[in-house]
Amino acid sequence: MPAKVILLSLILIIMVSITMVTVEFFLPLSAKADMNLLCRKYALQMEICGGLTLNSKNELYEKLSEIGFKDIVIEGTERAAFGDELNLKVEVGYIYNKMSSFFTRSDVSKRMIYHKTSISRKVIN
Amino acid sequence: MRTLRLLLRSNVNGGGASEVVLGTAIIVLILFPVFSGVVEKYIINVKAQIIKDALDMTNISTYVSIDSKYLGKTVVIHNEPEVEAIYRRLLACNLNLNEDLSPKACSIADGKVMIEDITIYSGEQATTCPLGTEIIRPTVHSLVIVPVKPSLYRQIILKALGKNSLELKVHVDSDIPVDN
Repeated sequence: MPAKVILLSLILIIMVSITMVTVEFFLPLSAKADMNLLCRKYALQMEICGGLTLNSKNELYEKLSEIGFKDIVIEGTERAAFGDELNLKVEVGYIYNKMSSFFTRSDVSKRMIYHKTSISRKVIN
Repeated sequence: MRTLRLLLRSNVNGGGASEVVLGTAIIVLILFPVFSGVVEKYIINVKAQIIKDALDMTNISTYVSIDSKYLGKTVVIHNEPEVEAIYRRLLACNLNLNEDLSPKACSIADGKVMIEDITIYSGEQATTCPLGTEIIRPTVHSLVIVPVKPSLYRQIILKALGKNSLELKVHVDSDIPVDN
């Protein structure tokens, strides 16, 4: 009987730990997916507008801040004619609380980068 | 399983110990691989999505940057060297690759990327791409093989099989926006 109790407790602790680690493992992945989605929207907008306008840059900055990213750096081609290359590079810091061992938690910082190149579709007269 | 349990229980002196062994075996051989499988599947899906986004952007950019003479005269451009050269350059930028499509340090790819197929449908006639997607508008079809690094259990399994990476075949058909 005591063996059963110990075994069940052990299994329970391991299960809870695995579940927590799994959920926490998905947090940065989910944040990166959100960041990619947002940046992609602005990259496509850049294709149409022929560059990253100051308004768009500020808007992107605010939206990334709302998601919870820190130390945001946005670099984008400001003006490009039809057929010219457009670059959008966004660097952010993502800080989240993570289980580091069975009984301790600590803040972890991850640097995430989105860097894409496309071609301008804006015809400048 | 029940027979095994009964067999283990029949050993009165070692009953408790055998249950611990059985429980540990269940955790190591069933629970861990199942969790690992789910996590692995999710990671592969996320990587495939990132590659698809990069390919989509590359497809549209290739269409915009090719010479208009192609778009004016032909309806289907299949693996044209000039188009492939543009596509290769843009793909290298978007997937963080070298000019020969081998990966740079921070690339999602784990090995040399291969462009299997690149076809541009510039007409508006209904057709289907080689992989069966219906095409009704100007579209760029691309099929690219990207080796990605597996993690957790699959990495061990692939190593045992003598492979280092998992080859993802990514197919993207990008509709070209008509109006700005």
